[in-house]
Amino acid sequence: MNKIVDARGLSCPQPVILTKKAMDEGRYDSLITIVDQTAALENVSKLAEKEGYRVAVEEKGDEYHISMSRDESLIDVDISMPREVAVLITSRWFGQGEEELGKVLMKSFLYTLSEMTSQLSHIIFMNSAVFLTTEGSEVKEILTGIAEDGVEILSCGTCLDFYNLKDKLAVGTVTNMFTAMDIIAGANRNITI
Amino acid sequence: MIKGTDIVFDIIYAHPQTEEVFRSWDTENSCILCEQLFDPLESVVEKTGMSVAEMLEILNNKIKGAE
Repeated sequence: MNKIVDARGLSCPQPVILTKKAMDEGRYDSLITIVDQTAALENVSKLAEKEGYRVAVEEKGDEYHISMSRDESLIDVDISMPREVAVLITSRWFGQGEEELGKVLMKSFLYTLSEMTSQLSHIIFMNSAVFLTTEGSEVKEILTGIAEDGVEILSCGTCLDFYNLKDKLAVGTVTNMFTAMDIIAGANRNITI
Repeated sequence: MIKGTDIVFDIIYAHPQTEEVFRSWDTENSCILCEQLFDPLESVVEKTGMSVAEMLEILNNKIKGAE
């Protein structure tokens, strides 16, 4: 059964909401949503792809007819092992004691993490640990490799500001305490050093 | 309870009353619901000039108010 969603004259998010409602009814093999704004075209197409529909767009004058048909092979199924470990690093050196030893241990720790990235979701750098994610860091390459494996590298924005490093972030993105604690609290397991 | 990692569209779809909150954060040159509909809430920070915590408080209060 086919369904036509007429979303002409509506601005986002309404065309997307109407399309999603039609999808959620689960009764239709294919849907056609008609929109007349490019933002609506883009967003309805994004929704369709996210929901596992094959998308074809036909331009008719000022209108876009977005045809969507169910394609189970497009449904985004994550069959990988769950990434469930979040790591919080609060210092540029590992542990207390001699700086030289702390540097060696931190490098070794991060290298070890780089060997278990399939289990990691985030590594969060707080306080002086932000020196590890910025220009001049001796472990930049290790962290870049970890990030390339899909682990989110986050550095505390307040800490970057404090140490005048905001313009020197070399790996990952900036975060804040709220987001960091949300990640740590939501992780199945976490490691703090 | 909304989280910073939630997608804007998922928030609006589950809680339609939040649409007007997002619209109130639009500026002359930007439309969050057009340009960032499938982005996580925390990525909207740059447009609103607020912290994630402030946005969450406003959105969660809006939801609570409608219950």
